Amino acid sequence: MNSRTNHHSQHVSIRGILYSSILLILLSAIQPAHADDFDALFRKGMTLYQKKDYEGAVDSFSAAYKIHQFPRVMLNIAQVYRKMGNAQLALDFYQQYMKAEPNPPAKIRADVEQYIQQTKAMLEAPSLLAEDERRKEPAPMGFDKQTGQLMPWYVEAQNAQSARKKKLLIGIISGSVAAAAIIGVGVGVGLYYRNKLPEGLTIFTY
Amino acid sequence: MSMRAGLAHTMMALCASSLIAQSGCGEHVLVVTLENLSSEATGISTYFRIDQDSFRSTTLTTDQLSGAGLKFGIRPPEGRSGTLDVQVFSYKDSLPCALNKGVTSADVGGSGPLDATAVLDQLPFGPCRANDAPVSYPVDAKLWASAPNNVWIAGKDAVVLHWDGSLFRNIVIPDSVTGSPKPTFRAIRGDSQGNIWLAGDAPFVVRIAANGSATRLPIQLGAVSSSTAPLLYQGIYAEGSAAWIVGTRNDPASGLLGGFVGTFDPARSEFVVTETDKLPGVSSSYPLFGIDCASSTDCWFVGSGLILSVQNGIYKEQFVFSDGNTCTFKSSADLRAVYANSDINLVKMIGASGRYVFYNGKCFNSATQDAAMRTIGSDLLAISARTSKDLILVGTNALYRWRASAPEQIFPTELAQWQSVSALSAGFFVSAQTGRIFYAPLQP
Repeated sequence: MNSRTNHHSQHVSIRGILYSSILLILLSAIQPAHADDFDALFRKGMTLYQKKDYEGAVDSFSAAYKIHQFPRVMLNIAQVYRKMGNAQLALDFYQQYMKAEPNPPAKIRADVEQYIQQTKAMLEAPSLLAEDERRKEPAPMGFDKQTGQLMPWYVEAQNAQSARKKKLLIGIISGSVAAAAIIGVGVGVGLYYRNKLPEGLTIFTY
Repeated sequence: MSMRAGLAHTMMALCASSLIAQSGCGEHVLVVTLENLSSEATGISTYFRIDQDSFRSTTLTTDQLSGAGLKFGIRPPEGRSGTLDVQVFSYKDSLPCALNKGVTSADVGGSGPLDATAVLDQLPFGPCRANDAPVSYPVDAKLWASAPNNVWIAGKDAVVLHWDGSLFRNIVIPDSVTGSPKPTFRAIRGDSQGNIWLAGDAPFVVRIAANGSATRLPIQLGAVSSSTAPLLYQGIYAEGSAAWIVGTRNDPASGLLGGFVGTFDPARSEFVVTETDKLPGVSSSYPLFGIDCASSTDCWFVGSGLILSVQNGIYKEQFVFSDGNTCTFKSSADLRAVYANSDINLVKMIGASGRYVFYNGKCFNSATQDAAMRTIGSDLLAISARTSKDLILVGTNALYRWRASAPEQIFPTELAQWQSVSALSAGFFVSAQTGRIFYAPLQP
């Protein structure tokens, strides 16, 4: 466990430096622009997001952010990164959003906080690089360290896993039953034909 | 272990468990496959037993084999284990001369069917040696046959054997009938009702009915000389309600003494014997060995120096006339068997030293030379008629066919003391003193 924690901390620190640098680059690139350009880029980003062109959407939202540093643009970028599965960048932008917008609407705050928890949990999941170590350790329980509650993603994953296991179990059982039936029928047919006495056989009783 | 054997053991193991339905394992039957079965075979005899049991026997025709590809089955008793030995013989024409013989065996006691193969040896049909089947063949065997499929053999220790055309069976006579020790049967004869009559060195006759039941018929002493020596009966004839026996006193110190004729009293189910010199018109008492009747009231008895005939209750002492022409010089003859006929010209007798006796139109005469003018020499012991003019004579190393004035020699495939014969239309059976049984076909 200690090795995993140390490893994870090392990854976090590296990512922090990396994403902080990205954010600084984005912020340093911000230049004054027209409001019409911002609206067009923002709408383009939304359109691309809906089309699941997440990379295009990130580019459009980033370009829009250069025109106007609206916190909701950061939130959208965070959402796109989350959809892309880039938990670290998503977390960084969520956290930047919360700093830039300390009093968001309650609904948005709740959603963002949930997203932050999810992305943190995703980051705490073992990386592929740590697969060997992960296999040596107990599976993560999916409990929130702070609240002690099961995390929704974990519940979904567990449910999905349960469903897969259930299907697998049903498959195994069905396969086994079918195989047993086939073998049984085969053995029975074999025994029947092997043990079948010849037609018309005259039998004397001892 | 072969793959097939391995599979069989696997299947047996599976069948022995309760995991697989017994119905899938099949009956516990030994399926015997016959190889090299003679194309001439019409009947199959099987003798089988588990370990040292007495042999069971059964038959089937070749038609019964055809439906299963030369196979038949034997179902062992439930729960019985051991080695099931099987002997198979094939026959033709209902004669006890095996064409094929084979053996096989299998361990029984498991479950499911078993397989065994009997590879049959090819046996020469002739000469016919009938003693291949695993039954008890009596020593000092005497036989009587009415047909190829009805041959009876009896001898020492009250052993009785029957050939029914497809099987030899030992006929077990209860101790209550034979007594103990068991007698040696020295005379056997069947009647037209299917009864078999047996006499020997016991004071009773055994009658085996057609249904197989055996009855003890006591022999009562009638008019006989005073003696405690037991009587020995070596000839018997039975037909309808009439039966006759002949015998002699077997004195350990003096040998065979005196002749006796017994008649059956059906009302009392017993025989009554009379010493010959006590019979009206007979003055001699010499050992008697042979008997034959043309009818129940027309019988002939022969022995050492004595020939008797009885017609309708009238006994007559007959004589061999050595001159053969004037019939005035009587001579004794040691005779052992007789063929009776209502026509005295057809009555024939045989005896020791190759002597045969015939009626020459004037009197009984005897000779010892065969048709080839060779002295027979051997003791002739038994006679049987294929027809009234076609007789078979057998004796010590001697087989003759008597159709004309003198017997013709039959050259046997082996020498033996042939001591009984039973002629049929197509051939004749003979028994040797050792208990061997032979059959020989005859040309018309």
